[in-house]
Amino acid sequence: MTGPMLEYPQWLVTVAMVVGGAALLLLAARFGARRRGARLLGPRAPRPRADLLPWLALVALGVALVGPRIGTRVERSSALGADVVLLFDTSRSMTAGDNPPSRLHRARRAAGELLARLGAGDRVALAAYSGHGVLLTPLSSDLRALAELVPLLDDSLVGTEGSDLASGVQAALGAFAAERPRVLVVLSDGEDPLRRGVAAPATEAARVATRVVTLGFGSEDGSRIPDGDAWLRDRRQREVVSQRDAEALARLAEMTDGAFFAADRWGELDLDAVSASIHRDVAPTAGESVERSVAAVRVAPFAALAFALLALDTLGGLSRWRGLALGASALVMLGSVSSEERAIEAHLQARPDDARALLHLGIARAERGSHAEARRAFEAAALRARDPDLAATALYDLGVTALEERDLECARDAFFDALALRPRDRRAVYNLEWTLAALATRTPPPPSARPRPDPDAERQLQPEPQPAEAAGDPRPLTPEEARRWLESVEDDARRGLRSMGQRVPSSLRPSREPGW
Amino acid sequence: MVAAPAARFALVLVLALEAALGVAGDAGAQCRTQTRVEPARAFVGQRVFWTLEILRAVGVENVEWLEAPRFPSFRAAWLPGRVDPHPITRDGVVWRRSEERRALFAARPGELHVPGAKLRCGAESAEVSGATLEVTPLPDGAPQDFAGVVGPVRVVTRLEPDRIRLGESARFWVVLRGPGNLWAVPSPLAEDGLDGVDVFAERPATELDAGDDLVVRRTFRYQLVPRREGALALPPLRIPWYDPGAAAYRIATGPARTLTVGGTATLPFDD
Repeated sequence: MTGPMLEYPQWLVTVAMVVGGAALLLLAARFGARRRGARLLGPRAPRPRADLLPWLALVALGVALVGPRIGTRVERSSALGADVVLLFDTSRSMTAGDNPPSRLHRARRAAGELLARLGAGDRVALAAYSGHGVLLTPLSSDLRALAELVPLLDDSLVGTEGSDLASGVQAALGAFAAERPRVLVVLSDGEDPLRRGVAAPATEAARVATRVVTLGFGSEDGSRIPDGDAWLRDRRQREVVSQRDAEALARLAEMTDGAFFAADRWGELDLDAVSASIHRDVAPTAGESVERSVAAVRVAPFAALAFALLALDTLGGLSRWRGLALGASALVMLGSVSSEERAIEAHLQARPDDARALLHLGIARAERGSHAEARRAFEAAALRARDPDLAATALYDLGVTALEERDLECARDAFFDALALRPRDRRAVYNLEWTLAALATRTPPPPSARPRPDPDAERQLQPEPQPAEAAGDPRPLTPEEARRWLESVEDDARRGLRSMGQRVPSSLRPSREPGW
Repeated sequence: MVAAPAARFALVLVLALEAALGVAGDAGAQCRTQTRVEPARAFVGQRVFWTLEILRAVGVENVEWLEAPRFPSFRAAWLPGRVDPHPITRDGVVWRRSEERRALFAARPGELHVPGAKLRCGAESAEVSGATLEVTPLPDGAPQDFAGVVGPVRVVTRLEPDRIRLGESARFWVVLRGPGNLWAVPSPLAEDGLDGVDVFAERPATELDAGDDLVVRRTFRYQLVPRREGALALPPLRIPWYDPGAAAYRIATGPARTLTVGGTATLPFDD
């Protein structure tokens, strides 16, 4: 495995700046002390004591903070199934015909056949990305239902153009909650016109112990991209030729201890091998376990070293900043930010339906600022809780976390559900009212340009007599009417998926960058 | 063209006279309704028409549902109502006549009942009587691939292009058209149904064309990817259906098509 060397690379720049800044401050202080000594005592003034120990402690603390991966440790898994997210690249390049009829057709077919190969213990979720990523379904063991959804994924599913793999990976990782073998299967041509690379998504996946199995569609020769009756052209009016970026897909898999499989010119893959790769960490039978070596994150030794250095340095008297540094290093040594989460996840491995543990996991994740993961945990807790009060708490927390992410619709629904279970929850009432007020001030989306024809729905007399329902207030449906209405509604799962896919994050703005 | 304004003027005159003379409807009923289901006996899945005739007294403008009609155990499709432009006289009273219509498809055998409904008619309410339909199961002897379609089916197919190179794909449409319950028809072409061809089925679409009659159109779309060169015969598709008039099962067939595959496409510039 040639995974990332650091568990928390996002801290690297900050740590380097702090350590470098501290070194400069120390040098400046030492130089100042020498000048003052020379001015007072002349050339025979003693050299000031080198303040090296605190600086070294700071370096050790910085190393601990970025989580160096040194060596390996053995991990044992007794899970009988894997949690798998199928992440579809639905960018325009996937409509290229070098895997006829198109890369996306072949990806969907491969996914369908892969679902048929997964076992009863596996749970699968669907996700897609183009200009942004979206998790379409939660993890489900109803593989047959998922297989029916797969053919509905097309290049218009996600509302924004582009190939933002990192966003797709981030959305897909939100599906994982329990501590089971996690596999992200990326079905893509790997092409990103913006060439953002795969380091960021690989690091993100590795950080949450997720292996990425990449299935590469397309060809190295490439193919033009259909654009209506013509071919897609770039700004210079040249025909765009899309090529499979096998190198990027292979690197993404390698960095996460996964595997890369390239489709042949017909878009076919060795799906038995893909399935075996997905099940690599799955115990063959109950009672057995699978062992594998994973990178060990060494935080404690460096934190301990920092602590020891500071203790040595402070034998002569504890200055304020050294005390602070000591406290910080002790905090890091005591278990770092995610130790509580890991403990809960370990507990959930044995008892995946423990709603209270899921609730605590959500709280820990929310406190860490990982809101998407927290929401998954809260949702799981609410679904599994048998105690209505516990479910209400999970839903309330879900609403609060959704508010943190400015997802007002989700927050509204969560608070509504929480109140349904615990009607006198004043906090939920207050938050719901606040959310509804916030939603009311939001500009409504434009109406659909082409409403779905609904010929089966009960329409009333026209041109006369006029229907009472159209004129007056709607009356509640009787159970029979409700049943009939449900029967008359066309079972169009594509609408639901599209609704999910069109949820564009507010941070995204229309881009002028190439978007295939 | 001259006759239309004249007729309209005559109609207004008649109505004004009727209103003045007080003969527009009897004082006790501002509306009369009559429900009928045709035919009164049907098979499961067979289309029947439910018609509500509404006679309203001249001068009554406000007619609306108090209790809308319900069709439990049926799949119901709305049909445009009919409005008689001319007043009619029945039992010595002048009425304005209109019809409310539905196409119904019974979902199960047995004596199925369409409950009554209620209309607001001017200042009064009018009851709409229920109706009963005797629904019998389809007889034995159905073909193995019979999917429950009752009523005639027309099959149209289209292949485009019909000549491609190896590595390219062709689109194949199958359109079924008829007055029956065509939404019951599954994909007539299985994904592994053509030897040497990868078949990619898209989601079928069902459209209802509600006019004087109901016409159902069900469209299946496929992408065909041949895996070898030569002339690939697409066999004629068969759609079994039941003919209630002749009490017999029949087979609708679409024409056979041939997809010619020659040469190998060179990617990416495959033309």
